[in-house]
Amino acid sequence: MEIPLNSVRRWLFTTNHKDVGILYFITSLYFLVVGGALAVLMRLQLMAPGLNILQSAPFNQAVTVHGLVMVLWFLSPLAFAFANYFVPLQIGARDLAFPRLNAMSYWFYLFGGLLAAIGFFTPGGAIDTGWTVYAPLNTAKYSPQLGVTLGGAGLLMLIASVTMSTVNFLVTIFRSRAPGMTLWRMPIYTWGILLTVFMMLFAFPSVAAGVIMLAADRLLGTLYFSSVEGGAILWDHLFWFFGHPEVYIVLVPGLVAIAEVLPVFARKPLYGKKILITALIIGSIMSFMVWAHHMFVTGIDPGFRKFMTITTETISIPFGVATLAFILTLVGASIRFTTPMLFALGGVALFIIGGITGVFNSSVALDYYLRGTYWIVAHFHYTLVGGATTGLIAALYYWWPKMTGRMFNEKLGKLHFIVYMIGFNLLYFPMHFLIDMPRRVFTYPAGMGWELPNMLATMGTIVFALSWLILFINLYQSLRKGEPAGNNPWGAWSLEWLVPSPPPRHNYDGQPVVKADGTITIQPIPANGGHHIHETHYSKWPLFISLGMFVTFLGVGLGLPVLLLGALILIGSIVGWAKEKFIAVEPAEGERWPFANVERVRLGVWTLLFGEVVLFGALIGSYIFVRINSATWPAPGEFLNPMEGAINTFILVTSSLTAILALAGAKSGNQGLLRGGLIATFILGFIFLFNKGREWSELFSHGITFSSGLPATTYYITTGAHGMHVAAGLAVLIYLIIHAFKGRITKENHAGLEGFDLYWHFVDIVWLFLFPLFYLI
Amino acid sequence: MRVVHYVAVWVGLVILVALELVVFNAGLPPAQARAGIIGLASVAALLVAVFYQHLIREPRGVALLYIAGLLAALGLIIGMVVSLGVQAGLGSF
Ligand code: HEM
Ligand SMILES: [Cu+2]
Repeated sequence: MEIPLNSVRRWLFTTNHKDVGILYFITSLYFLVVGGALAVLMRLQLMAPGLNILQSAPFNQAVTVHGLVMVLWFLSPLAFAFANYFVPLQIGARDLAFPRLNAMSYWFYLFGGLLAAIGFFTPGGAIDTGWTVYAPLNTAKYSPQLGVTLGGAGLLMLIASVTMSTVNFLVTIFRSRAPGMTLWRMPIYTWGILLTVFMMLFAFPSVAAGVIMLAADRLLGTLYFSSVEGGAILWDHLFWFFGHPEVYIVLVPGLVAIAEVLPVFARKPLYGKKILITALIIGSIMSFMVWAHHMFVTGIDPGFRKFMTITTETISIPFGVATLAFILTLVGASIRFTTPMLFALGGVALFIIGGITGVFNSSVALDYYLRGTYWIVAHFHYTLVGGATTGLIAALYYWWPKMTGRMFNEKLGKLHFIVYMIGFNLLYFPMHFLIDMPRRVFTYPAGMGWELPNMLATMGTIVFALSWLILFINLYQSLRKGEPAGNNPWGAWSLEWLVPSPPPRHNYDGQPVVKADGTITIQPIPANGGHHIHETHYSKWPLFISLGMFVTFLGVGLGLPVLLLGALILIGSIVGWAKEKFIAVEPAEGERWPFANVERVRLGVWTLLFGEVVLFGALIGSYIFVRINSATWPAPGEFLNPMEGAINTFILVTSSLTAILALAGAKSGNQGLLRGGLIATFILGFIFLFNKGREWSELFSHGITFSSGLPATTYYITTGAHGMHVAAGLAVLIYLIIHAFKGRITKENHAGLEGFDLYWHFVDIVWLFLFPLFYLI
Repeated sequence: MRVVHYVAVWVGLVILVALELVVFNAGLPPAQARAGIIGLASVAALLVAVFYQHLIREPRGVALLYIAGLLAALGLIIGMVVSLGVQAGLGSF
């Protein structure tokens, strides 16, 4: 498929990383405007005591959608707009490892956002639970409206999008680096994205499990969050195990954007790059060990609280190191105060303030007073907006000339910076003085001493909003009549500045090679018989699959016909995807440590499975949690039959054997073994599901339904999630069987089968634990 | 790996699951029975990972990341249990 570059179809069907980057860029700014408009409305309402601009219900919706949109649909996606555009360029690759998957990540992200926002147009309005979606407020009893379900569906689509991106970026960074581009030589932005996707990989599955359980509660009537044994604390764990890493997931790209910009305009290398990277690695790991500092006031075990206080206080050290590296980069430098540099410097300053207030919060004693006040609002806006967003604005000005080929107006840029800093501080600094004013409440009484800070904050909001207008005007004018930028307007030295602005579709006319002394050359690609590499750059299926998913989720609210239509689109376009011949060339040579021998698809599946470990860990953890928290629990064998479970275990274990034999058949060229193995695997997997279905219907006929207590709830949902994995595996098996019988799975070409095998064995491993956990103990 | 090896692993898996049933029916004190059963299941899972998923042949990085995922999951589970209070944690499970 070839498509003219100036057509709309290009943008709908593109799979090129730079196009997708631009789509992310525009969409994230769109969501910024949505979230920003909601913020302006909230601040107008809070300008003075007792106003009536937004009443309680709309205010709750505004505060919720604002938080969700800003964190998940604006900030991270803006970082990934730059990641999409620049990570392949920075490592000398032609594209991401899985271009179609990348396009699909984008469409899932967009449609997920629409699902969450569509709630505003339903009776009862949009999701209004706060961005943390706390239990039991999130359950059908307290929030029956469709908007909450739609918000959950939107979240699920976003999580799917994030998962696809994670797999894609990890495989790309590990397998598509140019020769000489060792891990340590990678530019700092790419390093930051690498760490970010690692955090995403292990953090998002926890909230995914939470949202799945919540959906089950709301739609099927299970009892995870409406019971006291699960309830608020269970959700808190699942949410914040994701939530704290999430704040670093949005922070790290901002910090490394600053680290990318500072040295260029300080005209010296980044101070202590390896130390900075090490600090960020430690910070990323530790971000999984502090989550309960969001639960200090919930009555959890004091010893556990103490542990989390200590880890929280320790985690500020790596970020202190980062700040120090920035400052030492500046010492003795002859600085060029361009617009990107100003924003980078501003980002450092604001981040320091936010970090300091964070240390106060980590004291349990202080947090009893700070929790739920505007002090916290000030804290996280200084870090998320002051640090992360400001850093990304620096990146925006820095890379804009590369992305568009045009310069922006430097005077307007500086004006933007000044107005931005005044607006931001006027908006958020006064909130430090609202240390006793509760957040997320739509109004407040007069005479509490809260009037002045609130008035100032609202004035700051207007100034801050204006500053963004200046940015948009600048960008618009630059597109229309900006000076041509040339290859390297800033005199920077990473790879992306070697190519024209904007770069050609295939990035490099040759193979970039990095030498030991850091110099980069672009060598002509050895003419392989003289024919050009033929790559595919368009596919319509990413868009259609995402659309199918979107309509299916809408159907959950709108009824069966819509649901069926969605499922039809979904299945049809998955088949279309599977049948499409899509060529994404992997570089013939390059740096691949430490995954040199792990083929691309296999590494992708592995990556997915690492995340799945946490998904099932969260489901199993929830089961253990509610079980310990319950006064009574049926003895083993009381409502499930251990023998039935054991038989199914034997069946699934045997299907693992037949799957591995199929692979062995492919590898040795034994087509009989391959085909027989695949068919046997399918039959065994099918029998497993059939037995499960029988077991379920038997339980139902004995009156044990989703809502018959937590033993039933946890059993149905945990084994149900596993069963869905088996079903997905069977769908892939159908595809593989067709291919095998067409003779397309061979000694040389069995990457897909190998990926399937990994997945299937993982599903087996999960069952090896679910069987004893539910049937025997 | 050859076909006989795969079959041998499968035999091992079947035995391990059968042993779980033996322990289940042996009438041991609950704590010991649980430890034994989960231990057997863990060995079975390890067999699948090492020989069927070929961890034995993959670069060490793959195993490390697998373990990282496992540690994250275990950290979450342990944190959830501990937050209930140490006594509750030991008492009823
Ligand atoms: C410098 C180290 C940091 C420390 C020690 C720290 C500590 C804390 C603590 C203890 C809380 C809980 C307070 C409460 O709810 O009562 C908190 C809340 C929060 N922090 Fe931080 N923090 C730090 C950095 C950051 C960064 C870098 C970000 C984001 C980029 C961030 C974002 C948030 C958010 C969003 C919340 C509030 C969540 C909510 O309840 O809605 N923090 N912080
Ligand atoms: Cu936190």
